[in-house]
Parts: sequence; structure tokens; C-alpha cells
Amino acid sequence: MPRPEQKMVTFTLDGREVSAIENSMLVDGAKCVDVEIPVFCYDAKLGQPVGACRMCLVEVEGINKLQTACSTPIREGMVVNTESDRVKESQRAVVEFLLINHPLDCPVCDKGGECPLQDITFGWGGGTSRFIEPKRHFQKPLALSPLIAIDRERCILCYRCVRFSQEVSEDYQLILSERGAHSFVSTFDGHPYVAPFSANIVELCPVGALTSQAYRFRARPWDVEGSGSICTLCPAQCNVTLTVRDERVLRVLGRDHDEVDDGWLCDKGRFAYQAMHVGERITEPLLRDGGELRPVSWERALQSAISGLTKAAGRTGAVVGGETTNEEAFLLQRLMREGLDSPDLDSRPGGALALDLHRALADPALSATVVDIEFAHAVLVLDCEPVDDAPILDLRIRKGVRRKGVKLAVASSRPSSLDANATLSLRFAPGAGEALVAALDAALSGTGDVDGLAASAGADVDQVRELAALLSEAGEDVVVLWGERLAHGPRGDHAVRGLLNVASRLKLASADGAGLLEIPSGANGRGLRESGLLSNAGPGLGEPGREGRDTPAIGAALAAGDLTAVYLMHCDPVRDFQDRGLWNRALSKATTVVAHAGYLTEGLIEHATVIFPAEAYAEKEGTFTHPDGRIQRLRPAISHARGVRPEWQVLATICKAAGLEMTFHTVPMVFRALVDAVPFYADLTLDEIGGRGMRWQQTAAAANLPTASDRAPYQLTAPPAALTPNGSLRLGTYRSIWAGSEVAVSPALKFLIPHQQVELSPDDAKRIGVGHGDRVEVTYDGAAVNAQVTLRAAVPTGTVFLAEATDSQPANLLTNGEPRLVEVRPA
Amino acid sequence: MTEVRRFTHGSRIPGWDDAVDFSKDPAVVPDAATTPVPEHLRAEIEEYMARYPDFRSASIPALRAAQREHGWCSPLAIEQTACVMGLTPGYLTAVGTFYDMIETQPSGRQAIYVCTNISCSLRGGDAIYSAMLEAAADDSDLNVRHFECLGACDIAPMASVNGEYVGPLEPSDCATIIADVKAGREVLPDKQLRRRPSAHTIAKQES
Repeated sequence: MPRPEQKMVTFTLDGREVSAIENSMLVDGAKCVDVEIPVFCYDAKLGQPVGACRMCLVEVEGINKLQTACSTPIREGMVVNTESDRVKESQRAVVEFLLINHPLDCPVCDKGGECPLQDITFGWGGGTSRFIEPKRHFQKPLALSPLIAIDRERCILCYRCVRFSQEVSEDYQLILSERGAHSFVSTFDGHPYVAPFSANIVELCPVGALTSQAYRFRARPWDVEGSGSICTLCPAQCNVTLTVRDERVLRVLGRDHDEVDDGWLCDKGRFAYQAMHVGERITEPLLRDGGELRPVSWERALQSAISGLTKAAGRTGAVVGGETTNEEAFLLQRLMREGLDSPDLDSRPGGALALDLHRALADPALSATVVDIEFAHAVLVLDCEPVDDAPILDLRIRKGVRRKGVKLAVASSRPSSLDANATLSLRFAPGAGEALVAALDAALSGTGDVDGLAASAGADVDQVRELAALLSEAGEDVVVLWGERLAHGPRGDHAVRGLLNVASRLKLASADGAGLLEIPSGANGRGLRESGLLSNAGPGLGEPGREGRDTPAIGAALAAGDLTAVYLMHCDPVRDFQDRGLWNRALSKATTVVAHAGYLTEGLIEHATVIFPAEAYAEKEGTFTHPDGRIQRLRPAISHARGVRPEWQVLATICKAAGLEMTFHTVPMVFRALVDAVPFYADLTLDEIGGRGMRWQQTAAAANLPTASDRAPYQLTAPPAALTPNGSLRLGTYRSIWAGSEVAVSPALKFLIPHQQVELSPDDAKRIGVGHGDRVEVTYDGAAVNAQVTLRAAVPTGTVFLAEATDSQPANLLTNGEPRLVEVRPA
Repeated sequence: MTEVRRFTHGSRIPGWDDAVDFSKDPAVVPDAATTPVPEHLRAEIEEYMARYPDFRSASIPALRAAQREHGWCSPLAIEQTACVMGLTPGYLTAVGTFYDMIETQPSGRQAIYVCTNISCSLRGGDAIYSAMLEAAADDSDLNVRHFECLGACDIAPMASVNGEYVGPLEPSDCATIIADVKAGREVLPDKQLRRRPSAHTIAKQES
């Protein structure tokens, strides 16, 4: 959809000629000339104004009554007065009204010092009150959820929080109960307000009515500092301001960036800062000594790691998780390729993708941005669950559908939280993404056997045809948001070829607002690939010199004894990857397992030889690459916890010991070397990246991207047919937003740790003879997962879903990355 | 009239002083697989939903249907309605607590609303209300309450008895009304608004 045209008009504000965007609200237009109109209920992020608080009344010539500036659109020639006596009198009156029942507990209120009500009372209030009656007093604070406290005395009923819940996150859990003077913010029948984005309401609240349980009474606004950085917990890489006091992060606030996060944060990003300051964190090097991991000096740990790795030179693998910065990735791939003569390194958990396809996917013409989602004619969410994989994109999609009329199609195996917003929701068998894109390709091109391919995908052929029609008829701007999972497994190449075919049939490369947007598995998945952490590509998606093993192959080679050492950078394959059994065998067989980790996870406790403490993201310096190609800077907000060293220095030390020339003194020097090695990053400098990031596709150097030798449409081979569940069930897996060490160790978030549950359709449950809440055993070839049944009407019959990376009984006990049929029986 | 407690004594608004209960799960849209709904209630709500361009417009009739089924809009009734409509129970609670004729607290099934708004009040509505309360005694099946304008000032003072408008009332009528309601008889046939001769010719013919 073309972006709306912005026409400038001239209007008069307090006697001055002002030019502003036509139909933007007066409040926003006034800001352009530094006139502040006070508001409580208005926030541009919340969409349509409601005019509930009456604070923004102004005088508009020709209209008898005062008008709310938050909901009055600017028109040519309008004459507006914000300083007349009438306006001032009404402002004083509104403040006086709001303060009638507002308690005078500012000295003990968290909001005190950064409170719009305080500021507006000071700036626009009358200074006196005629109210001498007793104020209303209630119990306070009350819990609204384990994360949020509510103080109903302080509430001024501006509706911001309720509007957020209903119109932005659309969880519809927070409501205004009762009516008139009885109104109060609450939930249904005392249920807690727990949702992935719930704590945004704390930041939205213009008074101290909603406060963060974790931040309550921890600091005053005048003794903290804000430090800008980005959150590295998921690929969405939201921009954040870390509230720092005495070298501790006490709070995370959004740092509004329209092109990344639109000003919102998920609760994981908002509260997982606690994980930086807990006892569980590893803050000194650990070495396995007599079967136990024991703290040792840095010198000894480095020495052990270096000797273990150099002894295994040529027989070392490296597996890298998403929290690694581009600089660390660059150093690590040099260490592996040049220092240890081992080409076996990978950052993709699901196996390698042909280099040519990496290049084709990176094509700037084919890449969509986050903002494109909002303005597209149609968005296809393909084989991913945004709220789990990159939460903030979920809000962006909802915004597009709600406010811009984007047509949404969801194609996934597991029922999606976006189904209710979608024009079309299509289900296919877990792991049959390849067949689905092939079917879609056939339906779009009008050639090929759509019926057969849809059957192979376990999808309804009519729905596939409808999807094809929806995408081709919606308009030229179509964005396909797809999960890396689609390209996992041995047939990943074929699935991506199918996807590129779909993109070429829809002519995504020729429209500006159209394209593909991948949600990688790791937070910096894209940056790691572009920095050279792929088994089959060097920095800048260049030829690797020598092709190495990919992640599953590294696991197999370790288990077989072909590799003897492994470098685990920010990942625990036993917990995170498919095939737990294989990785347990692989790591126990390895003689040296060097890991960088923040927390002890099961695989590391069991198998690691040396563990270097990982930096928390607030301590770290470096760059990340957003899924849409935006390079963003990670800036240190606090000094390192005692005993923690910068990880790039650890890598550089090992590189040096392995015989590499290392001349880096700072992270920017490593960045310089990275930029020199990645041709399409050539125009980037840290200055230009600055606080808002920069998409490399927008620089001239983007032309240096190595081009793919083969172009879509590709000739596709027949995909394997989805398994037929006769008696047994297809196994699908998902990874919850709450999976991960940061959630597990943060006191505030502990209550959200995902427990294993078996999602069954009512039909299957009936056939097996189990009900909601019963315990069942899910088995495959002797391995078993034991968990409670959750019945979901939306789960397709014949499929069962298990969660990955749970606290116990994780799904990877049963999986190896290929589609599987499992047995379910009462336990 | 009952005395209104002052704010200094605490809240007079139910809910203001309540925290949430952490033992409960967040109230998301109830899943059809785990929320049984009586078939006739489901059918009725779906029929209402089909009447409007935006199905959420059916919230009020749907809640009324659930109220008829359960006696009041209990959390269970709201959950069932939410399940059929694909909304969260919270959304419906906001609607339900806003409107007076949706009972979100347990109440009698027989709705007797006595108007105490200006016209009725001037003609003795408050006395009618007191008499009605007295006549009803403590019968938990009766939901006697005063009401803002019911829009029938011409028969002031009046009451709505299970939707039947009756008036003008004398305090002595209250005992009869309560007896009629308890016996399931027609309420004060000679004082019913719809039997009242009016200026409208068609209405006259029907009466």
C-alpha cells in the first residue's frame, strides 16, 4: 500500500503562522513549533484519540465551545488559541477536578519526578483547590498481576491502559468496570492480567496508578541515569533505555523507534534485566576438574581452553547462538577458519542452506522492512508464530490489520494467536512447509499439481487456492513474514527455493513495499550469517574457502569421534536444538567443550570443560543486525560484573594464542575489520549507525552483495508427503516466548517458566480416552515425554504439539528435525 | 432511601478494593474444547451475532440470553458467552457492568424496577419503592430495585415488573404486585401501560 501522502497546510497557532501535516492532530502539530498542549489520555501510539481527559481543550476560532486538541485535526487556515483566558480557566478546572480525589502521596510514589500529572499541575494547574472534603481512600497497592501493581486512588481514568489492552495488544483482558464515578480498571472476575505485552501499561500510565512490581521503590527518577541500547533477547531487537543506578540496571523502558519496535516492549524484554543481577549468573570462569565445574582464574581457564582447542586443531567445531554480536562472530569465524584450521562452524540450528540461496534471500530488492508490514496490502505469516519468535512484530501486524486494513493470511502448523485477525488461516502438517510453498507456487503459477502438493502438505487444497488468490489479488505490496524453521532440516534448500518461487510469482522484488522478512532462530541470526558464521559461507556471504559441517553434522561428527572439540558460543545444544540424545552423546564424547554462557544449563553442567562467563547485554559493546538488515549498536550501560571480561577480548586472546595476528584494542576496531571483510557493509560507520541503526540495503555498498548464480523460478522437485497419522499423531513443536534462561532466573518472570503440556484436539483426546488436565505419555521409538493434556479446539485432528526448551520433559527428547509420528497414551 | 456510606469508611464500590487472584489463569478467550455451552444458548447467541455487521454488537442480547439461562451473569455465564462469541470474558464484563439490566451479582429472577427519577419521584415514587421493598421482604427470587427513568412519565409513579410497565401506582398496589409475581399471574391488568387507552388509533383498536 503506498504510504499516505502528507500534505502540508498552514494554520495560526497563538498568533503565529505554523505549517503542519494536514489532518494530523492539533497536539502533534503544536509540538512542531514547541507549543506544548497538556494531555493525559492522548498518546499517538495508541491510535485513534478518545478525548477522555479534557486536559487539551483549546480555542478554535469559529467554534463556540472549546475543542480537544488531541482529536481536532488540523485544517488549512485554522486559527487556534492555546493561551486565552478561557483556555487557561478550563485547564485549571480540569486539573482541579483530577486532583480532587488524587492522593497526595507523591513523596512515596514511584512516578514522582517523572509524572505527567505532577508536571501538568505545575505547568497548567491553578495551584489551589477549593475541595476540603475527605478524599476517597482505598486499599492500595493491589496486585493486578505478579508484574504490575495497581493503585486505584491515583487513577485518573484516562483509559490509556485499557485502550492498550484492547486496541494495541488486543488481549482484551484489561477493562474498565462499572460506569461513571464508579469506573475502575480491573479484569474479569479477579483473573490476573498476564499477557506478553502487559507491562507496557506501566509506561503508559500518566500517573502512578500502575507501577512495576519489580521496580517499585527501587529508585527515584533523579538518582538514575538512562542509557540507550538494544534488547538482545529475540530477533526483534527492540530499542531500549536502561535505567541504571549504582551500576545496576533497575528498569527497562522503550526507546521509541518507529522502524523497529513502534515504542512497545514485551514483558520478557522489560523484566529479564533482572537476570543480570542474580546469583545464578556465571561471573567467573569455570573449569571441569575431577568431574565438577569449579571456579578458576582467568589465566587457567584460558590456558585450558587454548590447549584443548589447539590440540584438536582441524577437529574442532563451533556452534553459535543468537546473542553473539557481529564482532564476536567475526573473531570466532577467524579463530575457527584461520587459527584452528576447522571449517566446521554454524549459527543455524537446523542445518546449512545453499550459499546461493542465502545470497538470493539477502537481495535488497526482495527484503521487506518492519514498517512494510504495516503498510502492505497483504501479509502472509508463514511457518512462524510472531508472538513467540519476535514478539514485537505481532503488535505491528495487529496494527496493520486494525488501522491500515492489511489483509492477513496465516499459514502455520500450530494454531496462531493471529488467527482471529486473519482473513485466511491455513493449517499444514508440522514440517511440511516445503510442500506447502510448493503447492502455493503451483497455485500461483497455474501449473503443477496443486491438489497433490496440498495433500503432501497435509493442507486443504481449497484453502491453498484461496491463499494464492488472496496474495495475488490483494495488491502489489505483499510481505511474507517467514520463520527460519521453514528452511530447517535436510530439505531446507527445497523449501527456500519454493519460497523464492512464490516471491517471484508475486513479483515481490519489483514493488518497494513488498518482500520477504525472515525471523531467524537467533536474536542476531542475520548478523551472524553476514559476519561469516556459516558452514558454507565466509564474511559477507563470500566463498568460505573450505566448506565445513553444519550444526547437525557437527553433532553427528562429535558423536562419531570425527571431531573432538567444540566451541559453544551462547548456546546449549542439549537444551536448544533438536535431538537431545544426539547432542548428549556428542558432547560427552568430545574431549574439550569450551562454552560462553551466562547461566548453567543442563548440557553445560553435564558436559562443558571450560565455561567463560558471558557478558550481560547491558555490559556489552558491539553491533547486531536486525532481520530487516538494520545494523544496530549495543552500548554498554553498566560496567562488567566482577570477574566478567569482554567476550571479544576472550576470543581475541584465544585467536592470538592460535597464532593469528590480533591488532584490535577496541570493539570499534573489530567492527572496522568486519566492515572491511563484508563488502555490502562497506559504507557503514558506527557514527552513522548511531542510536537509530542503519539498514545496509540503503547504502550504496548494498550493490556489493554477491549475486546468486541461479534465479527464481527454480525447478522444484517433488516434496515428500506429510506422514499419515493412522492411529499415531504427527508431532509439532513450538518454542514459547517464555523459554530461556533469562526468564527462568529473573525473580519477576519465574512464574512464567513454560511447563510441558501436550496440546491435543478434542477428537484425538476422545479416541485416546483422555481429558483436559490428564497426564499422558508421548512416545517415539522408546523415548518419552510425560505431561498434562491441554485440549484446544483449534488443534488440527491428527496432530499433537509439544513445547521446546521447557523446564523439564522438553520436546527435543523426541525430535531430530524431521517430521515424526508419535504415540500418545494415558500415563 | 438507604444511606450511602462515606468514602472515609472505605469503598462503596464493589471491586475497588479487590486485588486479583494469582491462583487463576489469565482470562483469555475460552477454548471451545474446555468450555461446555448448552446447545440452545449457543444457538441463540449465534443467531444474535448473525444480526449485526460487527458480531460484537450482539454482546448485550447475548449477555441477556446467558442471564436468562443462569439467573444472573455469573462468571460461568460470561465465560460461556465469551466462548461462543470468541471474545474474552473481560470484554463482556466491561459491557455487563456498564448496563444496569445485566446482573453481574447474584440477584432474583423476577425483575421489579421502581422508577425514582424526577417525574415519578415528584408523584411519590420513593414511597412506592419503600413499599415495594417492604412487600417483597427478603424473598431472594425477587430483584426489587429503584431505577432511573424508564420512559413512562405519563403513568408516574410507575414500575417495570418483568418488563411489564404498570402505573400510576399507589403504595397499596405493591403488595398486589408482589403477590401476582409470586403466583405467576398477570400483574395489575388494569394499570398496565399497554392496555391503557392512548391517543394512537391503532393502539386504541388493539386495547
